[in-house]
Amino acid sequence: MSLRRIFVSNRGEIAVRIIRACQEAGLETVVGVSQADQDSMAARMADRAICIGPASSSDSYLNIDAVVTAAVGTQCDGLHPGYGFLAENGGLADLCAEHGVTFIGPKSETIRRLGDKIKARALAKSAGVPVVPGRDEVTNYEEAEAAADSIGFPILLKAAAGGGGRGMQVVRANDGLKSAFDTARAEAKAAFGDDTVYMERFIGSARHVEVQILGDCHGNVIHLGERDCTLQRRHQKIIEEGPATALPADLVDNMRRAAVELARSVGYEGAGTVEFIVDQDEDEFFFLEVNTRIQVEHPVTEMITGIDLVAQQLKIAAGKRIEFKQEQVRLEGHAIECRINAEAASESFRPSPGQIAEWHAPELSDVIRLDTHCYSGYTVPPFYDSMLAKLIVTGTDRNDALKRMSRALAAFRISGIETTLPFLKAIIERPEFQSEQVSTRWVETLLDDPDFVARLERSQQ
Amino acid sequence: MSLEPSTSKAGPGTLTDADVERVVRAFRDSGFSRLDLKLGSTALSLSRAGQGGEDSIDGRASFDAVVSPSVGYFHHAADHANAGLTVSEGTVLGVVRTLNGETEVRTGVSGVIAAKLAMEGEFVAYGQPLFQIRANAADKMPDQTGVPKATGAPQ
Repeated sequence: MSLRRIFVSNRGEIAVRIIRACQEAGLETVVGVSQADQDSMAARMADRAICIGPASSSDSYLNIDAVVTAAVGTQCDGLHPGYGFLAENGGLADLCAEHGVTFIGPKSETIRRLGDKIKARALAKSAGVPVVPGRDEVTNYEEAEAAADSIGFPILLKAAAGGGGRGMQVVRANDGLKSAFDTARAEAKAAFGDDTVYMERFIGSARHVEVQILGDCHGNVIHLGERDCTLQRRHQKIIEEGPATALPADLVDNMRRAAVELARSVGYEGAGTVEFIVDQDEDEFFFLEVNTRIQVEHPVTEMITGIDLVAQQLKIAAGKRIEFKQEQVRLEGHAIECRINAEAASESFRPSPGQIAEWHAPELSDVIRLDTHCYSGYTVPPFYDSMLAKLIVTGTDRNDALKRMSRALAAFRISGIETTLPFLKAIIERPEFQSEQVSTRWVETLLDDPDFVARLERSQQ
Repeated sequence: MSLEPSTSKAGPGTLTDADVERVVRAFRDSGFSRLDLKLGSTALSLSRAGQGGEDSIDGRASFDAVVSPSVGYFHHAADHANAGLTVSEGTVLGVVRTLNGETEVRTGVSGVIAAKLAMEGEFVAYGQPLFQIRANAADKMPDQTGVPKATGAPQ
């Protein structure tokens, strides 16, 4: 099987990224755009752009029927879902398969099994991957109390369905359990239509580390190292880096092996990410979830391995074997990625859509990369995610990369809209980040510091 | 003027009806006054009959596009599909079929069909003009018709 024309079912920088990879592979591209994106960089780069619906993403980028109709109507034989939107929707993979369009990603069955937190946790357990002590499928308060007894406080309550941080509650003692349980249940019901809750040990000082994996339909599974995505705000990643230099080498080795074991146990095909939470106090890692798609932060891995992940996705989808063995994958240097968003950080990250008056990026090279769909004069629409660009640098080691990132951020000028550039600059300069004394809650703590916020306000003016 | 890649099954050097429709549409949207096209055994000549067209003959007349409410395959309603037919507001002119459903194509004004811009079974984009309606002067509406209002669409 070979692919000839790819339907790009996404927008923004990742649509641009996928179109580039297709062009390099000699594949034609059709991008499905909403009415708001008809003049986007992706629309201009693709061989053809087809309007699939109005600006509202529920009627365009999230409309499976419209997306696959457009792919079929433009005679595409492959569909790349990017990340977000429908990327981890088994229904999209199914409808593609039904109409002879190759979905560039894992099989729909794999997406469904790994997309369900409870099933994924069970799969991890059976593959010998450590999971955070917890209890599945808590549906009433009596069960919640019993679970709390065996897990021990502090405890995290989450929606069983869905992803991200929605419906999450932390409870530190027995007297807070009832109200936290009720809230988690109500939020789960409202967000996902399913009020099943799952509970687990809450880790006080955590790092978020994830392993990039690749699998093909011939049973080969390898890892491409890990990314440390500890810097988050409200479960949204801010800065990612690799390799995970803050962790002991044997812990990292075990984590990589665990990721490969889990992927192998489900016959994983394509690019995927196994996310772990690391308890820094205990030097222990636990399985979090598997993302069955290309990740936003995939360039970190590309920069340290020299492997083009989107190109690999295209090859694997076409039935080819992974071209290299685990021992041939070399991790060189250190890479850091900053997500630049159209947000005013000093005003609670208020979104700031509008026209970009000036877009002056730092000079790009082998060690400075920019993934973006933005340019001077581009109008950032208010309907979607606020990410404008990903700035990625490499260095011989972490310090070298940090210095390069500082200089690159300083050279970046964007005007006309508010961006997170001043915030990123401030974070990169912080001694806690420089010395890796951070946890997944560090950024939020920093934002509670009035001095930090005051300085941020001044730097934004 | 640019043409979208042909999606027809016709061999090289031939034009299908859908191709001709596309050329005509592109010509209509262009600023050119004349087009001569030769492709294999097919020759096509297009020119604008009287610059300004009907609009200037009757100053009050205006055209409204009925645009596709969905991406998909256009199928016309047999009774209303032809130029010259009088339609009222809400007349169903056809449907656009997706893999899992269909959406009706309705006029937003009363008037006369001035042109049919999509062929039977043609694959169309969301918002693509399917018909031109010469609206009755009193019914002239400022907005395009047929497309559900996009919430806060730019411009």
